Amino acid sequence: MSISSTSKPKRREAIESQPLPDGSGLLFDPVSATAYPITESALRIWQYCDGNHPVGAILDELEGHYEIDRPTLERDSLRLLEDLRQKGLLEAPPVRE
Amino acid sequence: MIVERHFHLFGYRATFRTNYPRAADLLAELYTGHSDGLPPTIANLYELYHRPESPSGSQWVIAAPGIAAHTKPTFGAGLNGIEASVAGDSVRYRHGFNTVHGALVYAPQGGILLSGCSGAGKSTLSLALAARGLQVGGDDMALLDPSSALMRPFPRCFHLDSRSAELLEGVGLRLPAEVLRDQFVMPRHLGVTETPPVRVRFVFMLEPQRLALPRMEPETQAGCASFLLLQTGRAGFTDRDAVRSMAGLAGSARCFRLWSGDLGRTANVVLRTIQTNSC
Repeated sequence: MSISSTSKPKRREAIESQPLPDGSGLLFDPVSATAYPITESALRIWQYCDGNHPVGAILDELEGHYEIDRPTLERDSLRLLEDLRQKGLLEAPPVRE
Repeated sequence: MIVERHFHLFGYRATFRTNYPRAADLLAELYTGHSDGLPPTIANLYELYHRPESPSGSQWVIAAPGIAAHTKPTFGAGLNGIEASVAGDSVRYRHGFNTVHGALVYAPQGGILLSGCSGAGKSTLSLALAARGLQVGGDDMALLDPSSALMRPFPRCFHLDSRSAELLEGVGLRLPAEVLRDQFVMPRHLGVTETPPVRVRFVFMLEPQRLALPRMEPETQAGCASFLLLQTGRAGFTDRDAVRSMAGLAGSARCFRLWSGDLGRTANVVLRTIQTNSC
């Protein structure tokens, strides 16, 4: 099941996020012993992945931070979330309304 | 006459025995400050013996813990074999440091770490930077103190083949004849006498591909930490510890990916990057 704008993505509790001073971050999965580097914008999205924010609301928040049109923002964000899901960093299956 | 030396490398104790005193002198010089003050005891025995009268000509026999005695054709090959064994065994020892595969260079702005896989050009680039006035602490292994995030080089000889020596002559670094003969290049030969712990301010991740012209791209600190994790020995640390350590290291540095080109131009790009990105 892929992530849509109505999904409420939730990060797995076991995943440790390590923010870095330049805004980027590492997501460490202790089960697979793998660390994934993510960008500043991806880290911001990750922080909203608490299972309470639908993707649409996350996009609303992001729009205030980046000068980017909504369709591009949505496309890139959904691509990132899908990538995080496929890496097993989000709870599966994602909640859909 | 058999000569014996005892070394204490960040907790790892090693004993070296040889019938060739120059070998003992060179190792003692490389490990200056790492001879333990404890009463000598035989621990982790490394041996190098010269057999000038061997039927097949002069031979160098080396032996190390876990490695059966075998021969090397030259003094340099034998001594480098001993040195590599000591370094490899020390890395696996639980000494409380993260071991990062990389060259550590001292600049007025702080430490510079050149990291990358074997053959990526860490040695030649670090020595090319030495030819431009920077101090090279080591070209292969650096130790990171996870509590302070300070880094220091593990004492090693430099790894140069004949092509590297030619490249270095091209950028103005001429090594003494006896050094080239022994093929055992130490920091002292580059004028380095002290290698204190330093905070790394720049990390250059060397990509294995060579280009006609050097190329540099900024990398996020997270991308850098992820890269360094692939170049880090665990030595008793958990993966979680290693992630935190590398995040601490990258988090105090400006990070770049570097595709090397002509050696002199690549060194100039590194120097310019340091000068223009200093706080």
